[in-house]
Amino acid sequence: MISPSLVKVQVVDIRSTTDSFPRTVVADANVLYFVYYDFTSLSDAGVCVPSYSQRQSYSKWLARAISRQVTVCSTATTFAEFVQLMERVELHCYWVTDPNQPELDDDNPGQPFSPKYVKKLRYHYSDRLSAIRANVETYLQSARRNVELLPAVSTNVDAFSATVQTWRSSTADIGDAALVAEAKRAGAPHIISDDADFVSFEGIHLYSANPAVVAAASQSNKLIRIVGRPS
Amino acid sequence: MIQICVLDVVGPVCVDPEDGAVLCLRAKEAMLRGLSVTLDFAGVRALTSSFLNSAVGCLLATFPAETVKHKLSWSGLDAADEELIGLVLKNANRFYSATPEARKALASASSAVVED
Repeated sequence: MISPSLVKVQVVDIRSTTDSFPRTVVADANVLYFVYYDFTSLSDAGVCVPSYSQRQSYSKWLARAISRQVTVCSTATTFAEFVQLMERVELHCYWVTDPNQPELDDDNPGQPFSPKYVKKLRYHYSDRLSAIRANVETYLQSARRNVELLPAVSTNVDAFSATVQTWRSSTADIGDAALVAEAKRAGAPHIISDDADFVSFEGIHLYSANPAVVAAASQSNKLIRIVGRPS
Repeated sequence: MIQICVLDVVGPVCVDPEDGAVLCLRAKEAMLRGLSVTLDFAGVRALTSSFLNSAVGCLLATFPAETVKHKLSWSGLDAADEELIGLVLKNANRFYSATPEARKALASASSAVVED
């Protein structure tokens, strides 16, 4: 539940039909993951049906945006986060299907997977890491063909300072703040993300299919349907 | 043998998995009639793995990997997209050849990451 009082952004519900798109949109890591990582068939098992429609929403919106010549961008840090997500899932997949599955915590047998065990799995499956990373790089390069890197418009010192300021005035984490700060400095304050943390940033439009985000924005009169130039 | 022009069926932007499913249906119908299928990607300017999974990965839900290997081909892709379609087919094969328990485990691995 997101308190409406936290919502500072203008939110666009990407599930609604609109023919208007911004000139440039900046993609968060979860959107890169939904659209460019291959796990659609995994959803067929029915375990993650609720989020399947979310994933579809981002693919559909991006397909329409790319058709209308919208420039899709992201930052180097966000691409790094995307890589980290994919590697984590690949390691998790190896582990869950390993007939000789190693214990994740030798002192507490039977532990379920969690991100804190990724390092252990990287070491355990070190002989497969090269193949895993080759696959991850294929997805990364696929994304990079449609998603540009935001141009650097400031020095590292300026960018870092802007990131910290953005972070201080929000309830989000520093990584999200860095993405927002870079997007704003590049003159592209339109972010697409499923992450509710983005509601607490000022001065951006958030494109999202997250129902909690849309509901909170609606309650605080921050939900808009059309922004940017007409197509 | 039939050739399906992806540009005609979907357009130049192959990103939406629902569009991929339309392509899959056409390929599947032809393959069920015993025909070989070539997907022609000439003119496509955006292609994602989630689209390819719906378009070709799903064929492995119906046909054995050997059948897909012999009956399905494609053209008009550059080296990077060739690599991507190969990876998508490999992943789909991993998924559809797994036991129901392993499928559930794989699915929960991919969904857990976005719920963190």
